Amino acid sequence: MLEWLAGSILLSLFNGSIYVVVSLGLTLTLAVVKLPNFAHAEFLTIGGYVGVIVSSAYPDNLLVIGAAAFLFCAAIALAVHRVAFKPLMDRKVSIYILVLASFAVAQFIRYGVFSWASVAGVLSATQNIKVYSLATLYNTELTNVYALAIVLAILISVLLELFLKLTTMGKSMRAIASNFDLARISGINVPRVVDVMWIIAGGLGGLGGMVFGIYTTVTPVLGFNTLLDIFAVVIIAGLTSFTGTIIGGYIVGFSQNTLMDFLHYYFDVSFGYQPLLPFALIIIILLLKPTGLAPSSQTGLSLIRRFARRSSSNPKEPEPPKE
Amino acid sequence: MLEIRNLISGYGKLAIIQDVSFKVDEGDFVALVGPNGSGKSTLVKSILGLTNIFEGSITFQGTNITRWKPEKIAKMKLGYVPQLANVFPDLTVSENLELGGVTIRDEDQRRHLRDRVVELFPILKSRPRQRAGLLSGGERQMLAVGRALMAEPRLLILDEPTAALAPIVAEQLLQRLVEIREKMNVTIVLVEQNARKALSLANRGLVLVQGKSAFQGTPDQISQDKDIIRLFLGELAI
Amino acid sequence: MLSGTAVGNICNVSAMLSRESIALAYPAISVSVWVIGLAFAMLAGGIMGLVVSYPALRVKEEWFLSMILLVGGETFRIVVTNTPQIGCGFNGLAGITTPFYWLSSYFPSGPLQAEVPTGLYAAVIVALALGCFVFAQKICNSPYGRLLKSIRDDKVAAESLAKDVSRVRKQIMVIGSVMAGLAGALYVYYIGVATPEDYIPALTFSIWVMMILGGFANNRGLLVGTFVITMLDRGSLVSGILLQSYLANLNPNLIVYGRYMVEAVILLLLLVFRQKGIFPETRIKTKAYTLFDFKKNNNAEPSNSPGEGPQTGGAASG
Repeated sequence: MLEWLAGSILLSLFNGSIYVVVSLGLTLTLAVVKLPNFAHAEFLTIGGYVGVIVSSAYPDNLLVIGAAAFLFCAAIALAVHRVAFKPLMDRKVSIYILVLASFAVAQFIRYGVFSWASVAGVLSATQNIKVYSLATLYNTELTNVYALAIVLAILISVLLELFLKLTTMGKSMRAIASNFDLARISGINVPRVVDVMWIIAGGLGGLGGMVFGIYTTVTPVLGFNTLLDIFAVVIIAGLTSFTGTIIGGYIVGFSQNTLMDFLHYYFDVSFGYQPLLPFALIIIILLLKPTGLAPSSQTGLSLIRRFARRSSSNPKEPEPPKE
Repeated sequence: MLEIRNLISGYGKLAIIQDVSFKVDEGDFVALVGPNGSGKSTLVKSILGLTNIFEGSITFQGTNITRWKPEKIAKMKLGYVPQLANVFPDLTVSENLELGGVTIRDEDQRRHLRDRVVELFPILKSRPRQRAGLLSGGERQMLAVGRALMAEPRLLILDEPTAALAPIVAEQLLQRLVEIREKMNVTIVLVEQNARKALSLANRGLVLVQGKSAFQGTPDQISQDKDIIRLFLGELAI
Repeated sequence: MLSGTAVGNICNVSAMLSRESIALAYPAISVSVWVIGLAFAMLAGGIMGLVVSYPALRVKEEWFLSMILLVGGETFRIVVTNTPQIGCGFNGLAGITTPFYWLSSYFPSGPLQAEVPTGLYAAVIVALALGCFVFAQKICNSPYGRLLKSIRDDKVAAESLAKDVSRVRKQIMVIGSVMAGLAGALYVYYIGVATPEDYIPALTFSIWVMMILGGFANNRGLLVGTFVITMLDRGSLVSGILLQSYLANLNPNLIVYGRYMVEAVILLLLLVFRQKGIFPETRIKTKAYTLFDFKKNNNAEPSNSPGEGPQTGGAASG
């Protein structure tokens, strides 16, 4: 019974992990510069193609390929910020204009990749990375790609959390997210912090795309096809919550795989409708709870601390004293 | 220390401050008073580079800082406590203080400053990990002042720090300012709604009306001038 | 949007051929099916607009609206692609002829035979486009148009004047969707196939560029923007064919990709350097405008602030 379940759950975890890595970058963008960057998914495509190129020179060398994908996408993100978004943000344009600009950037990158891939003959390409089984559980093979994605998601989440909580740069980033004007007049070097933010955001997009590209065929629409899934994740997360992004990533991953399989085997729903599940999540969240499912602006450590406090002798949050 | 000459400034193309000249000397406690909408906040924001300056000049400690970017002015040892949104609500108390001193490069000096600030406001010591957004109004203002002091300012500008505070808390906060001025040798410019209270603490006063300087002088001169009180500060201030 | 009424399988080649032969033999059926098709397309467009407006007008943040519309469009595309019963799925429906296809039987075989029906149909499309333009101008320069602009500029202010903002927004979304449905149907009868893969977000993007190039909220500017982008589209196709005769190795896809990239660059340059577009928004011309124009009409009720007089009519245009 349910012979598909173990494989489906594993695939959900894999997809969810990719979403977590990529969406953490988008959450950072939304939190720090308040930009719904519709070009974010294109970093995924670029990362996938960097994987294709670099893996042909360094087959199976995950460290080199991953670093190349991260750095190249970070450079692209920084360039996009300097050329397109910064001039607009300096003029304090409305969010509509920024959204339009991010669509334009996305379209430019997408068809740029199309042109290059068309000339280079790699409109559909695979990375030269061997996929092998690490273990077999319930007739399901746990391959190295699955393990890589899951470990990477955990590693990135922890590293990002530590960066934001413990380093001055990370704290400055949160300060800009929390109160932009005060950050400026406090002497925080806002342009530099924002540059670093773009480097991380683009790099994470590229890294996620590279890992996704080991599993699937890399095409110029690799990123665009996941655009709305990634936005589903950040909308579930309430746009700026990092913990929420991690939860949201796995919600979308499970809805696309385990829930889809369930609907397919029991209700005979065609797999072609799979992309509709994240759409449904977007609509439901936006209509019912636009602030998302996670408490906003709460990062993981503080959440853990809250649970710890709740379970210790002092069960209550310190109440702000009334005056 | 701070000298403003014939300043005309405002937002967009609208001039709100119209030809104000005014000088702050080392060690002064200046009370900047005036009715609602007289441009008090705009004047101090102009000093910090947060408005458009059309004409005039601002000199701080001999350096012309007219039309500098706020980030650059922040490194001039010029502290500012805005009226609203003066802390980082999503950061903890200790992170707020740390980022206040982000312009101080020396680690030891930063720790030293932090000790002094915490000594002034013991309440900040008791809950270093509390999110600033969850503090009470009075505590938040104290954190805001403490955050500004972390940059070791020579001049501290406060924009209505007592607005929306209970009278007893407001009184405490203002007393702290006197202490800060004496102990830390900081010059203070205080924007206040409560003119009488502010003038009682200050050694100089500036009355701003409709973006123009209506009167400058010692608190005694201002409180003796019945016309100024009646016209600009309200009968109750007598 | 699709007028195939043949019984049984409408997707295969024989159905396609029989559609063409019917269109050739029965002019009356051909034209009436076309008219019915247009009517249904407009109806379907309006219903789609109404459906999408429900979530789109209930979201909190401004840009969520674009999110919802993107989701709505993609949902429709995925449903049509994966449900062969609607429009023959991924492959689409072919063999749709122009309503004047039967005219070709009156001409000897040659260029005229193909060009006359198509040319006539193109003229009909131009006429309908002009009709839509006049209609849009009428709306914009009416009190209703003023209401629309006031809602766009300040929703709260419009609400405080007892205007039902969400009803008006719903109405205008339906009107826009009806027009889009009409355009889609006209296009399908022109190119002869209806497939979901033709209506990718890049098409929506082209339409945005047309709008912003001409100028936001400016119908005349829109005509210019549409003309420029369509010229770019057709011009790139023609130049692609011409170039191919010189450069044998030229990849024809590059022309298409290049055009999309050029559109993206145009939009970015516009947003950075000239957000108003070529023609900035103009003042609305309605009765109210002349009523409150104090220079012309000194008998109007005295104004508290004379300086504001001439602006009152155009206040909504911000």
